[in-house]
Amino acid sequence: MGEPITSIQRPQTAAIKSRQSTHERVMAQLASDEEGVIAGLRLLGALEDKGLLPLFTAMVERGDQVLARGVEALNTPSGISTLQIAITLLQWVGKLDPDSVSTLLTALTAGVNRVAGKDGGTAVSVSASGARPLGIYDLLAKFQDPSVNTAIAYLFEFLAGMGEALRAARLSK
Amino acid sequence: MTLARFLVTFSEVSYIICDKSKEVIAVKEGIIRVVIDGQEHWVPSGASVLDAILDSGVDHPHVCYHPALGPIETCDTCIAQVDGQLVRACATQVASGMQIQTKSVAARYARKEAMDRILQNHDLYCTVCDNNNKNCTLHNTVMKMGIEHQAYPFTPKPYEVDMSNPFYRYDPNQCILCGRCVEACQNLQVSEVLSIDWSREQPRVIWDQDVPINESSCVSCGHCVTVCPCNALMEKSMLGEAGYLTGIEAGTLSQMIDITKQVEPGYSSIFAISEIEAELREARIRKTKTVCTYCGVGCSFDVWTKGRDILKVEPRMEAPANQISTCVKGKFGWDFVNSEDRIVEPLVRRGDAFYSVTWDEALDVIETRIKAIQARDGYDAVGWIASSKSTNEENYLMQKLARSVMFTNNIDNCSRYCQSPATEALRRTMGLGGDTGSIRDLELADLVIIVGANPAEAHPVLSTRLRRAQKKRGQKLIVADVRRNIMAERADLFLQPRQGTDLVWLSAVTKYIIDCGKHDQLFLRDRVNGFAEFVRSLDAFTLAHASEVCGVREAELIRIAEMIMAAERVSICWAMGVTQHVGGSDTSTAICNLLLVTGNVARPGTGAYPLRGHNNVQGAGDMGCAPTFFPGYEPVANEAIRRKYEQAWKTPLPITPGLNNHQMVDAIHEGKLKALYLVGEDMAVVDSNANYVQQAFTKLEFFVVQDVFFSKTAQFADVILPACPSLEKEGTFTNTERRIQRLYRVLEPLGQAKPDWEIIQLVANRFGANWQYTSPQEIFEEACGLTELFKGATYGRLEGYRSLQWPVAADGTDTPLLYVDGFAFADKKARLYPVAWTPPITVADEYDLELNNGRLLEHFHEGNMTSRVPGIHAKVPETYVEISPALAADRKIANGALVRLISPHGRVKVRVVVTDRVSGNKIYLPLLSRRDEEAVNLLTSSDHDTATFTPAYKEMRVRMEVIEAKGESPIKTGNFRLGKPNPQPGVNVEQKWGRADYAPLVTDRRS
Repeated sequence: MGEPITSIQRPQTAAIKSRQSTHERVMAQLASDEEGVIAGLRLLGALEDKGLLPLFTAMVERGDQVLARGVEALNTPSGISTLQIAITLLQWVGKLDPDSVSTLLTALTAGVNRVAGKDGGTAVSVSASGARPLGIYDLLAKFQDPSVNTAIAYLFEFLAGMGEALRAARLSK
Repeated sequence: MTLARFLVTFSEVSYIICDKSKEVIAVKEGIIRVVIDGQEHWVPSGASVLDAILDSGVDHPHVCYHPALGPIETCDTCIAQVDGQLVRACATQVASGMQIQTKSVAARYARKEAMDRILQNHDLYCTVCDNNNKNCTLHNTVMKMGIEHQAYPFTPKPYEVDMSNPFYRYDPNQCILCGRCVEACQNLQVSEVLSIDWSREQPRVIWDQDVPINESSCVSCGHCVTVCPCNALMEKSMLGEAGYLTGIEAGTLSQMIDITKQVEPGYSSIFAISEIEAELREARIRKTKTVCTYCGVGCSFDVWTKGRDILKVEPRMEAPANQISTCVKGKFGWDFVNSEDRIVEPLVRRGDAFYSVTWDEALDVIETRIKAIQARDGYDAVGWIASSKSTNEENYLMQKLARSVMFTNNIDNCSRYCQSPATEALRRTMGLGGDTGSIRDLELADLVIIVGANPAEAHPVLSTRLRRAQKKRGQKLIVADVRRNIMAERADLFLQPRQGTDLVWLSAVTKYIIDCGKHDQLFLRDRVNGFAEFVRSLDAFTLAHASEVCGVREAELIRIAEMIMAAERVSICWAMGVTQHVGGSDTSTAICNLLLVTGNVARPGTGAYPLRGHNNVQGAGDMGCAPTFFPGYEPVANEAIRRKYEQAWKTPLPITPGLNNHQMVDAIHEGKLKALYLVGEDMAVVDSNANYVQQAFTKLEFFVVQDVFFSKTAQFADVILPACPSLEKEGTFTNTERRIQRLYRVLEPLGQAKPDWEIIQLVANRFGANWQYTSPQEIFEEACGLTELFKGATYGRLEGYRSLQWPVAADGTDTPLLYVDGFAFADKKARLYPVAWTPPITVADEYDLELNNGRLLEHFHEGNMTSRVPGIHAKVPETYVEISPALAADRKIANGALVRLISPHGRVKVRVVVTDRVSGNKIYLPLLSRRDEEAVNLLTSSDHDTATFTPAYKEMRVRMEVIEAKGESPIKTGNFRLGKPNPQPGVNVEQKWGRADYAPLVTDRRS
């Protein structure tokens, strides 16, 4: 009962209660995610120990400027060229046939192992100091080895494919 | 074959019959066979080739086509080869045996070329674009087309970004000139503001005759932004907020885009990154469906939020009442929810101030004070007023609280102020108190008559359907109003009767039609009672009499009658210009009588449409917030029904007749009503004769107000309880079509605010109710289960965008069109209800100006919510009074003059706008009132409709005193009323095709 009034008194206790309420909500959330919170704190501790947390903090706090400097550095002919090469390399990797790459890498591994003598081979002695150098007849004899022959044939096929693409590129220009 | 979709898409009744193996064994008329990429498909004959392709499951590109707009034909991205010819699939109708190829080389080449042309206009920087939210049409189309490189480099246009509008921006450099925005503005919203200037070397979208957006006639409805297929038109609230990288400083962002473009190895890699980024956005952007609260149309849409920030409102085609349409309030008017003015804690009056208290302390006060008053003065000494802005669940609980817990029928809601007369008339004549059809029926009508309503400002989305029907289909429109409102400007016939005389001309037109023998005799014979008596009641309503009383020419009335007689389907809309009169119920009844006499009910495209003003006017009444009705309009006076509710609620119920809210105010003055509990209503401002109402409040012993803001009414309260706005709660609303729709919680309640249903339950339990509701769903299903009208309504059936139009049968079948199987009376026949004219109230001759009032498009009522939306406030910061040029000349005043308006009941002080929207001595004062001295209801009286007690807000005369003869105009830059629209048939694509730089991609090179 009464005249219209417009004054609203919000005693400090209201603000305190509001803060208490916020505190309670935070504590409740902490309690409900106990393990995650502890794990998160450990991670933060490790980052702090390694000096990464201050670095990340600074990067976030100075985010706009850091980004601007980074972008400026990239937005130069050499930066763009680097990016283009990186992207081209990534694209190249993406275009390779996984099976062929796998076969090639397996073969490469076998070759390396053989050179290292891990595969019971003898070639390691070829590179050893004091070993007799390979003569032309030795090379011809090696061509008779089916494995060496296959590898060389593989290499010529690779050169043929590469040459074909290079010619096509030259023609298109 | 996905035929079900066709049945939804097309209204024609057409279907095919398949056996169990889905082999076609019979074909009904209207279905034709086409071949798409070698596969046979059956499609409706009215379908487009694009419809057919999409329905066959092929993901065919289409950028400018939008289902709400139809074919625009600007983008060429949907080209297909049909019978050997390249055609635009969107604009080509299927024909029997048609051979459609989507994958032919020619078609694919044409589409790629079309997209290349588009991309010349659009800089693709998706990852750092705020529109990269999985729903960018352009992004998705380019990606799905597998485009790696564009043939033509992006070419910037020589135009600045237009940031002038407070709500959205236009970036010409990103605009692909598809014309969706233009089509939406010209032919869906029909504000006719946007067009594309194809004559420029580099075309662009322009507003009006090429002015900044904010200086145009743009109403900021948001249609253009919603349909934009890219980021050219965007909500400002999204900019820099939606993406993880989009908030980057502009210069840095620009460099990043440059780098990206220089190093881009092909779009697929870029898109992969932007897709990942878009996916990440889902983690922090919530999209929640809600239902708008700004009028009774019932628009629904998704609200995108990030934390408490509202990023945007996104309407969807599934929305049953509005599809993609919105108005400025629905699209952009929600920032008030984060206003610092929100009440966020319970407040209790102590002396000259309110003090914040805990909920328990506030409830203690309520319990103690109300119990004391009830013990001393009885249960009927307390009144309970619910809100037509609250949910159905909250209204149901409020009347249950009053009746079952507080043992009184003193329960009402604010629909008493507006729509009760319309409900009364519908119940008198047809049986049910709701609109007889849907908005779709209004679209289908051949003739729509609007009486005393201003839907372009008060029901904006509904009005767009009428404007579109008129512009695109030639629907006829008659507007009868004392003021030349927006729809009146567009009307085929505009009638300006004197205030409060509508019943007379309506009855005269009805009589004329009967006298011409053009009444629907079969309909009247088979489906209507009381014709003979009704005809006798019309004797006095001759054209001459009507002309004299209404101040209109007989020829105008004859033309109205002829237009009705010539139309196959007639619908009539009306609102407060009819209902808020001393004869409001009778005038509403005259409208119903006219419709019955001409057989314009119970058929598609016909019917009676009182336009509900608040979002839940219909629902508040439906749920029993009226002294005489339980939910479902089941009468309190009926003993059997009362027993049903006593059993259900397990309490005795009062039998004493209750007071409506108008009577409650009188009862306070009389000392009979000692306490009032009011939910969500600024009654001190919106009730008529506000001084009288405010004086009543000072006499209350105890007053509880439950509200979102510290309103004028709240200033009188003893306890103020912090309530939630709609975005912070869930429940259902029922719109003007009787359509029940669910709203979901978009935001968590702010501070200690609670949804009204929770507050009501807390109060009830203080009085021993022991309610245990845990969700609105429990309340809703209890309410509907008790009634006959909503029996089958459940939350499951209302999931998402689904809706139900009551009556809802137990099996969930709803009723979009009423009375098809008979009227809601025992004999299934409607009743013609003779009515007599009640002349408007009179006041002394010194009050020489006829006062009218109503809404502004931009604001909701007094502006408690919308004035707290910065963009809306900037556009319309204050109210004003509209006066005619003749009156301005007579009083020697100009735009911006400061005047005092004085009625027998009070006075207001406002600035003047001189306009020909009003004529002679008629003036118009909007409801917006930010200051106490502006409220129009300080001028209105307590006179009311005799049947329903709805105040006669629209009947008052005032006099005017000039305080300052001139001053700054209250209409500021940004107000659409200052703009000059630029009506066009559409996007004018022929002008594009006629340009020298356009090479056709279709076979028929004329297009």
